[in-house]
Amino acid sequence: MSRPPHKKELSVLDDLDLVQLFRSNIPEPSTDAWARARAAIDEVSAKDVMVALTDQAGTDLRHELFEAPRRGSRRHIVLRCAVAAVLAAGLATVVVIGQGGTHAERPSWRLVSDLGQAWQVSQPPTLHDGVSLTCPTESTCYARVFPPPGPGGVNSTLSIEVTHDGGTTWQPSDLPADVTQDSGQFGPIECVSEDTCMTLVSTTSWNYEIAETTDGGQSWTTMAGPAPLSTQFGVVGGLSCTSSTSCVLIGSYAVGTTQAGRWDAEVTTNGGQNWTAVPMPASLGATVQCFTGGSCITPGAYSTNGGLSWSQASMPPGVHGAWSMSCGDSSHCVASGLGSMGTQVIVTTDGGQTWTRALARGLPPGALVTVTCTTGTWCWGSGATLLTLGTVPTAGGRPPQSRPVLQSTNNQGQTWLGAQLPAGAGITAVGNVSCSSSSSCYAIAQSHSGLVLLSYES
Amino acid sequence: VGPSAPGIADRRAFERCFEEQFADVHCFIARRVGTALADDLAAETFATAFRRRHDFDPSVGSPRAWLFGIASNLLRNHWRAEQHQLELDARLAADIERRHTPSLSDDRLSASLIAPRIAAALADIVVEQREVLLLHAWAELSHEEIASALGIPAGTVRSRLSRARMALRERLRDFDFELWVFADEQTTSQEGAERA
Repeated sequence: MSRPPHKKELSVLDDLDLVQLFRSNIPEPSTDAWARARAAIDEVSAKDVMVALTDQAGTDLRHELFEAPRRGSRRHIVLRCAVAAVLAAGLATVVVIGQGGTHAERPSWRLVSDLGQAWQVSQPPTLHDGVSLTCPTESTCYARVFPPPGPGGVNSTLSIEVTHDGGTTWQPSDLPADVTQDSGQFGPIECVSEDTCMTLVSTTSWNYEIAETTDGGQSWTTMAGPAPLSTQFGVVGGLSCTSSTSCVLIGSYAVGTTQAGRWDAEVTTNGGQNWTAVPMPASLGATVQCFTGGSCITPGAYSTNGGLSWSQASMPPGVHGAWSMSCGDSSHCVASGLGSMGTQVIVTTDGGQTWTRALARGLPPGALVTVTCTTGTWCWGSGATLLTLGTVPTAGGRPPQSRPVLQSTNNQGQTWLGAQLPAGAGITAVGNVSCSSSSSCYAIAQSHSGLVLLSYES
Repeated sequence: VGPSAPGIADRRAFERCFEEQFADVHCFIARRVGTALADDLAAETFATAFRRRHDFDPSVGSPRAWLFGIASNLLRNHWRAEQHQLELDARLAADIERRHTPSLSDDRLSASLIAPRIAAALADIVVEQREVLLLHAWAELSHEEIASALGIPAGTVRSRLSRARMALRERLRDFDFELWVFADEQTTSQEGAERA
């Protein structure tokens, strides 16, 4: 923008030249700056209306973005007439998505509690992998939390905090003695009722086990897990239970084992007394979600018989890495993960058989750590901007500021809208969202003073 | 910029404009209030521009001038940050002079002596005049472009710029331009001798 120093004839050097030389060594904007600006534009753009034309099979024929016309304006009338003509001629189905549709206003969240301030004062837990929240009812929530990692990054002792009064008070659970370390790779606690929940844990001997509570989190006991879980699985993708006796767990064999890299589903129908190992064609390692009808879905594979056999899913090209997934019903799921182009969102509408990329308009730069769907189309996405891989800004040598990401979509991930977070709470990152119904959700979040609980009621 | 200047209401046209102008707008903001704030303000500039893209009138000015106008409006809310940065830079002057005896052949030292003086001078100039001066010197906008960016008459731009430069020269009057020029000439002549 400004001329380089010392290029002008010396004889005409003047005050303006000196001003031009002043602070002329400003670096080019970082990739994060570009991405942030694009996201800001996209957020404005998300308020536009996207009109998609689909055929009877639901295939996207064409989609165009319009500035939302004011109701009653000439553009509004013209648009309505055009849509009516297309419908009348039976040429296509017209789907209007975006904020101009049903997103009337930004969803607003409120701060509920600090997850036990007295406990946090000495050692505030931080929001790293593995911190999660599960709320089976409007009043009961289970939170997996950790004090900060110890020296050398070694993860610290797992704690499960429970509330039965909507987050006002929290009590630590009594965990088995050998549950002292946690690798942080496990998904949220899995609850089949308000009082009965299961979760994956790791032990002092670095084995993985399944812990279960049947008394609302007062105490937890380890239950028998499948044989490979304790010693052979390197990655455990998740645990999904449709009842207290029927669970499916997926994992991949660790390097050094004879089946290194292979994904297996382990299925039990008798509360963990017996497990059946079922090879899987593929998985992206995120999580698995099963339904009482027998449908089990994970990005990359699906089952229609409760996990006893699996088929490979059709995936869009370039999809790789660990993914967070949530299904609003047994057909519709949304998964997010980081790719080379930042956060990617893929969706399925046929029970995980085929996945396609969502437009994902309106997502800020950064990572959607988790996705939580309450219906086939409505989902929450959460995370933080600093989780963007490789583009952590270091402008001015100051420590980078993390910004929370909490977005909602009402069209299965096509467009996203930022939620209104409680002002002054100093929130830097949002963990997962857990909803006991489509109208009542909680989220665990990192603030400057430690973990906090947020709630949303529509 | 005449009436043929392109509009930016169309999404693709706006995207082109974003690609062409973002680095310059970001750099301008970073020079004024620092890199830490620049990411946010540059993003806000373009988000605002996108929201108001239908208001842009190509017959009034260029998209570049319009964008710098939006950036200038946003920067007005951060005048304290700008003032603080300038005063911080200005404070370096006394320290440098205490520690160094200027060497005529040392460009870097000369530059380090100049920067705090410029900062001090800019910090003293009336905000409106400084805004015009920096749009001219750093964004390289013409008088007419600054006028359209700020929504003020071109005559006002000229008078503000003239006053800003007068104030600048007044505050730099004890600065030895010859010393700095001489140093640069010496370097140039040394380079010429080396090439020969």
